[in-house]
Amino acid sequence: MDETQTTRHWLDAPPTVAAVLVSHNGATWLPKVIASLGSMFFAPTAWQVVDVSSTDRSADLLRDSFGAGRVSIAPSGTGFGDAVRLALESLPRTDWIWLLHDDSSVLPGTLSGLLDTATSAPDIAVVGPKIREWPSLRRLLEVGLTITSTGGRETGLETGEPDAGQHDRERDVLAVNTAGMLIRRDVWDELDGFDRRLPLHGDDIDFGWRVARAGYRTRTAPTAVLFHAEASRRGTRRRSRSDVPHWEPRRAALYTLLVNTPTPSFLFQSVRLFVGSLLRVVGFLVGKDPEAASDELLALRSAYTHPIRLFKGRRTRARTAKRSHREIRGLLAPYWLPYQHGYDIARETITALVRPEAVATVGRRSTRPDESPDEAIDLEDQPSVLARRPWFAVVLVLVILSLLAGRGLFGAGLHGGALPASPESAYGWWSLLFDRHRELPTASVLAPAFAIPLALVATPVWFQPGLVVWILMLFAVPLAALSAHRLGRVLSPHRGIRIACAVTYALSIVATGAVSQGRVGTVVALIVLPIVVNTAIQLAETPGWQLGLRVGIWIAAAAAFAPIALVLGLGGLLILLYAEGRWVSRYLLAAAGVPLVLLGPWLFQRALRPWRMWWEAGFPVPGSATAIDVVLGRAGGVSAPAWLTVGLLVLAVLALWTRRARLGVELSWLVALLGLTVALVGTLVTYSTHAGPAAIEPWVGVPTVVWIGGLLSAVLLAAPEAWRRLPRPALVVVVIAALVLPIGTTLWWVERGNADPLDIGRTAAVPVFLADRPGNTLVLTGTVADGVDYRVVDGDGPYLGQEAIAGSSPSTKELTATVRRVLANATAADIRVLSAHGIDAIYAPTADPEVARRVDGAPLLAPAGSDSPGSRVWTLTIAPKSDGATSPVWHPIVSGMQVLAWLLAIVLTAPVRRRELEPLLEDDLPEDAVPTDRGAPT
Amino acid sequence: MIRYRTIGIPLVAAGLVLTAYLVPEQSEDRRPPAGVKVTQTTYACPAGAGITVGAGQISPGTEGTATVLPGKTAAKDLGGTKSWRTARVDGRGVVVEQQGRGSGPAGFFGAVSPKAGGGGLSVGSCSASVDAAWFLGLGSGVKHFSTVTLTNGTAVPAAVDLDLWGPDGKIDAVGAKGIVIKPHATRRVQLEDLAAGEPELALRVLRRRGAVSAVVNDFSKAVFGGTEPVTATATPRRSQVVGGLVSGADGRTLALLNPGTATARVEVDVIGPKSTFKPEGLDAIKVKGGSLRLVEVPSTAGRARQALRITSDVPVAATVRMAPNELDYAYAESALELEGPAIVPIKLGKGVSAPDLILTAPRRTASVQVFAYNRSMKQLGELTMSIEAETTTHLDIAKKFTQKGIAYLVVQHKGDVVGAATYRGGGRVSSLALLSAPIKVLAPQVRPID
Repeated sequence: MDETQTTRHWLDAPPTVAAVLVSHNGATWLPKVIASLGSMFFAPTAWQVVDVSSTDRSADLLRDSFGAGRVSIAPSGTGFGDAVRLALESLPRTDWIWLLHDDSSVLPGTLSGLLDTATSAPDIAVVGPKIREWPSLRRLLEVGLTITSTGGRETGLETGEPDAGQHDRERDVLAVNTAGMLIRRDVWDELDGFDRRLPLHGDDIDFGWRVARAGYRTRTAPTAVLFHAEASRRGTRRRSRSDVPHWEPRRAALYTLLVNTPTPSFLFQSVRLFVGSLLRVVGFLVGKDPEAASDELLALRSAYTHPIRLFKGRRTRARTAKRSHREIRGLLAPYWLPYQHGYDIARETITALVRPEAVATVGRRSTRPDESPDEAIDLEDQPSVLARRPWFAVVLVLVILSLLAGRGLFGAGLHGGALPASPESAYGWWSLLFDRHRELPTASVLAPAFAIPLALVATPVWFQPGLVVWILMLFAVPLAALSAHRLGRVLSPHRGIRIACAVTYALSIVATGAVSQGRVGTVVALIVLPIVVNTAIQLAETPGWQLGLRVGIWIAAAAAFAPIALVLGLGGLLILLYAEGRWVSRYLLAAAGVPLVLLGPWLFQRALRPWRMWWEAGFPVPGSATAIDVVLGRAGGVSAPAWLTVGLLVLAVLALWTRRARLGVELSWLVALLGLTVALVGTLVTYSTHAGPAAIEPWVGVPTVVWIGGLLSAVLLAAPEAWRRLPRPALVVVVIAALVLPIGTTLWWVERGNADPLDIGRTAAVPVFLADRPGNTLVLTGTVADGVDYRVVDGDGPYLGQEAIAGSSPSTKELTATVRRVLANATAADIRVLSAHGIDAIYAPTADPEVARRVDGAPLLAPAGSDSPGSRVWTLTIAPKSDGATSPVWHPIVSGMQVLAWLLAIVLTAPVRRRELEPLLEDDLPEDAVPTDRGAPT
Repeated sequence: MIRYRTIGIPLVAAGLVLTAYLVPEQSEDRRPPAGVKVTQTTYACPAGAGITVGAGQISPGTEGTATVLPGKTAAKDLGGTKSWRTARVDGRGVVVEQQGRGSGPAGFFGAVSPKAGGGGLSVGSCSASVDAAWFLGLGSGVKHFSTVTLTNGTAVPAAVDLDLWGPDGKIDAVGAKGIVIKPHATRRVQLEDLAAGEPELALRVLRRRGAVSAVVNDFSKAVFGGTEPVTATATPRRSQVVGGLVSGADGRTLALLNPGTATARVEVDVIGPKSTFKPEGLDAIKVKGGSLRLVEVPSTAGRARQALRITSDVPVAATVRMAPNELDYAYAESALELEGPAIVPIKLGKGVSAPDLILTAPRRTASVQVFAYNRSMKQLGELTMSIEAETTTHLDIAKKFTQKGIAYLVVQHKGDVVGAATYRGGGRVSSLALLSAPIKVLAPQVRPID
């Protein structure tokens, strides 16, 4: 706007304006700030500058520009409001007060723009400019402020929103920033200025709220533009020991809400804020930001442990209030805004996971003035998404392929193969941990360790816990690719090769048939294992207890779902020890010990019979891998053609002849050999569950993919050298050999799909009418000649986790003997024993004629109709007597301690979001000097 | 050094794979059935006027009850587990339930039929629940009639299918499928109601639902009259031994059933007192698929007590009808070799006295020990007898055990032995195949999963 062409009625009788500039260590910005103040179309009537004990050359700059007489020196720790009061003491009484910060510069028409609005109506008491980011000068920071019901400072702007005039409309707001705030002097006096309890943060919103209650209006003046560096908020101002602590903004927000909330809803708001703050603490912990959690707790303590302050604050506001809250409700943020922010945070977190590593962020830029000038990013000039974000594009393609392969598996109730159905709600998994009553009378073992992470993750989707498993199974490939690619970044700087290796690793999981066979334990372990290796490499590079513990936690996470991962993890630590030497041994000891603690007694229950380590999450469905299967990356059953892996084997052997990366290649081979050894052992042994002597051949998917992963790492490390040394024809052959596995597997995977035996819908463990009966169903499979297997099914069958507690030796022995007698020479007593075990039906899904004849001959059984040809059902003519079993009292206690141990481990070892250490100017101050909540403007 | 390591790593991998190939796997694909001790036994006996039911056991059990059907009244005289019990029961049948781990209970019935019923001597075994029972030598005409007694001692209905074969092939009998036996009930089916006018029949009782026992009684009012309970013969097989042929060359008829479709070629060997030989006239008997054939056993087989070894290229079932005189006849069934002790009843009502034991060692030399007990299960006597390989011998119990009060015998065996007890009295005859008392039973290997 051209000031010379504007006709301003107020110029006929220009109002008097006293300008107050508050400074604290602002020497970085003051030269430009002072320069901007010297070229205003309408200058303030009087000036007064307050320097709050700056330790840089701010005071000198101010004195040089304004003269010593216009500069007041405030003691260290003086708040912004008190600094203004100090300035006003030296100023003549004027119509308006104009507040300025030492990191905010103005345009020539800023003050006149403010006065245009200020003089437009008699009830306007406060006017604020349109604040843009300094130094970008184009992005909007604030055009008015309000506060959410949870204490959030709300500007109503998108992050980094450029100013295109979209907010150039004057409007009433709850508050405006103190930077550039124009205040009627009489109103300032009436309200006694800013609250002294809000020395730096929240004073603007609180003042605006009080202005509104007092019957005045706060209005934005978009024609007045101010540039603000927000030095204190962004940490770019050099801190001193007297500055406010980090938790002050949150305390100020809580205080502002508590003192301004209307009396009828004060109690509710107090409780809501208290509980909400505690939830935020949990959220920060989960979000790996313990410092923010600590700030939240300190702010909560400070706000709630001074009730007299609150009482006085509320009493003061009651005295000046002339309007009801209902009349100003429109100035406050809508109730749903905090939830909108929660959604935005979740979205940003997901976006960050797949953010391309080579593209600069489009987020808010630095505010340091000496940085390069603003350069707008013109997205239209960018290359294609594939070129700019190849990894993002690959992940996107993997997600689409996963959806294609998952056809027929959309909906609720994923199950099949080794995967039991999920519980009806997350309570199912929590109850495994803490509910002592169990439906099956043969239950006395501890809840499986994987119930803890499942319960924690499923809690936000309480009524759809199956969603967690569904995502894990259907999106196993992109998830594993993400974790493998993170590891690839550590191993190789060559983006294309590591993307190919990450994708190949991820596809190796589906190539084994783990997904279609419902091997959820394998899937989770193989998603996690690259993270284990990644963390272990970090430990080798920068040894420390925290990293050591973190390695242990990730091993525990993988081992919770596939206990054999513990063997692989411990073996991997030995390889690390071999590679790095004894100096990492103590950290490795911690890494090895953590899984034992986190998995707790449950691990020992499985370790009592070592081969039981092969029993992963889900049903112990046998594997059928041969040694050749393992070598070719297959684990038996439904799997991709094994020959696809031959090319990788050849390349991995050739990789051993590399020179530069020899050590890395050999270490990769050691990891591969570890996986191969464990997998081959798995092809030779059998294991049994808690329930009995079943000789189950292990499923060796996890170590087999570790073998393949190790070979991939060797190829990844050797590839750059091959790229340089090999002639082009040889390179073409190598590339083709390397791509056979991922391309072939992809084609097989998408063509076959994930379904079968993986399925969706109701489990077919027993017919519907049996599931609805009060008792359990004895399911018989097998033949008299070759042996009969049985399973006791409660309702529709066990859900994921229940299968791990469905057996204990004493009661199972009795039941096994009884079932055997029933199939030999059944007596009424035998049937009564079945009844005592809560069984009221027998179901043979594919009835062996001899089995059927023998059961037919049993007394107290009545044949019933079945749901499919070849199946037989018998129901007991006596009611089931058992009402389940009660686990020992120490089970929930142990489970509780395990949950706490997991939470503690996560909190202690989370990659903490540390604040950047800001340079202290007063390093000579004693260590025990108490920082006061006074400081510079925001 | 580096080269060695470079080459060594894949060699180690290859060595691991080779080792995995050489080490035997622990997998357990087949789990054959194994014996388990029987804890409870239920069997059903026919009852009625003139029939004496006897119940005993190898060793005392823990609890025993007897229930008369229909009406479910208790037969107290047959209850208990610590003695040899006999009683005449007023009902259509009696169900005995006995508990005790490996006590080996067994039940028998004996009677001398009135003239209207053939007038013969009947000694038979009570039947436990059957899966598939094969009976040969039956009839539904020409004054030769058979009746199947089906007993359901459980609380749920049972159902059976009856299949009939005659010399001309399988008989499509109306109403023979899905015969329902109500809970705690006995049902008698006269074969003439299913296939009238057939002088020779073979029958298979196939249990479809529930538990049911089957006993067949056959009587003849022809010139050669008599009565005999027919014991289920062994299921069709390629090699079997029909033991317990009484002395006397006349009146022996071999019944062969080929339930399959291909013609069976059957060879018959006589396991006599001194040796095993092929009699003239029994060479290469052909039995058409799905038919019953009766062959007279020629005199070349000899008069002595003997057994017949029957071998065939397809499975057949076999029974020998013996009619040594005009008053009575008996059946010798193909029996399995003894797998445990067998009970032989002696005190079984009027007309039943100490039998002859006809014992055959079809393969190698075997021996038997025979123990005599009184009603209180007190052992009164004992003897041991050797049986030469592939010979048949007999034991006259009345001569060997002169003690008074013998209620029953227990026959223990060493080696493969097939045997029968032959009861005689007043010109009447009855044969009872020796069956192992139910001490052990084959049970499948069972394991829990998940």
